[in-house]
Amino acid sequence: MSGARERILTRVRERLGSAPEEPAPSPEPREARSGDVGEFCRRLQAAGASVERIAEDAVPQAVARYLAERNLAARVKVSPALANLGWAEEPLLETAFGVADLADAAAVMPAALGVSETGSLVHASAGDNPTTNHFLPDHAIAVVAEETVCADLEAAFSAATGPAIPRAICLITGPSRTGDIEQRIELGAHGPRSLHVLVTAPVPERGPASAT
Amino acid sequence: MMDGAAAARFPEASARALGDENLQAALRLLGEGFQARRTDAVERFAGFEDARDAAVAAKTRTLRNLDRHLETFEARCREHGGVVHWAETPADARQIVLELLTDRGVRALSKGKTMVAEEIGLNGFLEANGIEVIETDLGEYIIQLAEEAPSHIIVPAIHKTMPQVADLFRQHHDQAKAGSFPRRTPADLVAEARAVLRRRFLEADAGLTGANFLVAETGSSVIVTNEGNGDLTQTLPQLHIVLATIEKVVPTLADGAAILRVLARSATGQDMSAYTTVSTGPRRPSDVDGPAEYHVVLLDNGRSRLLGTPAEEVLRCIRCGACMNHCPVYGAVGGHAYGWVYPGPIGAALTPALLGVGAARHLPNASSLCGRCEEVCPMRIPLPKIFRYWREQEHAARLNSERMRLGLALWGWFAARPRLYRLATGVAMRVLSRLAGRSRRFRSLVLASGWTRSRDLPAPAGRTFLNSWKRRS
Repeated sequence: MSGARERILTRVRERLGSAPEEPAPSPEPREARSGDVGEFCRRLQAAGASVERIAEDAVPQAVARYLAERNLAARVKVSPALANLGWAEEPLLETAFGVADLADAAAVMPAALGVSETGSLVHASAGDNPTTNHFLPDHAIAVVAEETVCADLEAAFSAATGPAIPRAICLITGPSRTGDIEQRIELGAHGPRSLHVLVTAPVPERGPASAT
Repeated sequence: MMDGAAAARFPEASARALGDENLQAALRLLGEGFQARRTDAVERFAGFEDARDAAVAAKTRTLRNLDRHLETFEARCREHGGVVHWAETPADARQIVLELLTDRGVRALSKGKTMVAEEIGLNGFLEANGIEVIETDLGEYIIQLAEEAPSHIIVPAIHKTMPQVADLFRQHHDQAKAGSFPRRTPADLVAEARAVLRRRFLEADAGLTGANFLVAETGSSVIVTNEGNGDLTQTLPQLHIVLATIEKVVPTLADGAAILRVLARSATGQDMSAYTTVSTGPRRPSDVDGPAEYHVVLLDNGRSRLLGTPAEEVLRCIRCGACMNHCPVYGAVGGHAYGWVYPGPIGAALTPALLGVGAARHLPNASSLCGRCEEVCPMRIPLPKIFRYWREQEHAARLNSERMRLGLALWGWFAARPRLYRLATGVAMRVLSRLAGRSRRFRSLVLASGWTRSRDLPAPAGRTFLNSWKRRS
């Protein structure tokens, strides 16, 4: 619609007047202050996710155990960003790497950050971390490093956007839900029915891995 | 589609709504549902009042320099490979969307929930032009099957009871494809809708969403959802179209954070909705999913005209629905009675601006000015003040009834003569008090039939407030 842009902007300027009072400036982007990992886990659980704290080299075992405990097939689609976690150590767990499709019941993907204020994971899309993998399968298993947990939304946004903003930054707080039928909360509307979060701790050099 | 003419029939529609048993059963759930959940969320969060102030400040920044933020948004969006379209009217916006779809041979469009699409009557228009529209939000899907309009801005099918939804699914779902769901609980119905819609997400050639806000500094659109349908809608198809009105742009993501802090708490009583997604442009060269094209349609439709008027504060609205969840009028008659897209208090404040005071004059009058809406509005929009503004406009344009005008003129004449007013009311109160007898109420009373038709009128105490005040001091 040629001219619509100019007409709209002109009308806005006329309405605002020639010298609009200057409002207080937007808050400065915050430094990625470190958040409280315990608070992060508590809030995620309150939002309906299950949370497990493990050593960073124990992801394949934790995934295999989770699927077995839930009586789910030992088969996952893994986002390529997590390809190097030593999946071969779990020979009974069938893994495929790439973009999830309707045949995938469970998927494992990394979260770039955690946010302790809200108990949110920050999923940042990338070639090796497709957004689809979180939303399409029934069961989402997200891996987040405890040292990435930041304090609040502002800090998470400023950490997730620089230096180049990904196509999609998704703050994920629990599994999919709806209250559209008689205001009753039901899980698993269109996104994952369940969300399991593996919060990983760095493995001390030379020390044995220990689950906390 | 709602054409706006229905807003003029509020009195008849609300009378019908009061007698609709299904609707009344559905509305009765508001108290223990949304109201209780919001109260809990606000009590859990000690910083709520400060967060409201910060959210109001963010939106005030938006509106004071709206032109600049829109230009920045457009420039940044373009830098990331997005395309921005400007539309002054609903017809312009519909045409832009249609051309985007037909130019690319799109046959099926999946849709996240957007009130702006309702505002411009998009579904009917696209269907008339041969494009299949797939509503994916569960509530929107239910009312699409029922061929009805939403009755609430965040829970479109709030007027439907579970058995009604089960009936709709029975009528519309292919039993073989849907699997056999017992349809006994809301969980059964949610599972059935999930199964039916799963494949449809992948079949759509294009996805259309609204935006809870746009971000100028990054050129992004942000949606806040719980179901995850919006994310599937904007991730899977090759084309993503965002439909948003101009006042939705906030300067920075930090301003967006300020709004997020009050949005879910006010809407559903969650600390945070399940999904908040910031989308910026189409898929990057290295991406393996996401749309190949990203378009944003910026619609004005009357927003710019509101700037600088006494009603401009409605532009701060973040569409949380708290005002309608807490409104005694909405709670009694539901959303359809309001006759247009935005029901409840925000509708009563916004609809006259968008459709004109003539078409929507009843809506600002559908309020006792109790102020509950303003109390719960996270953006501190002075809704009752705006209702009064529209009532004044109605009166000034001589749109109200002769009887109403006469009554107001008479009252005005008295009220401008304080001595006479006090004398007359003093006498009237004493007389009414005597007439009331022992029951202290009137079953009927001359000039008060409008009140006594549906309830008794309590008798006055016998003295006016001013009398009592004088005796006290």
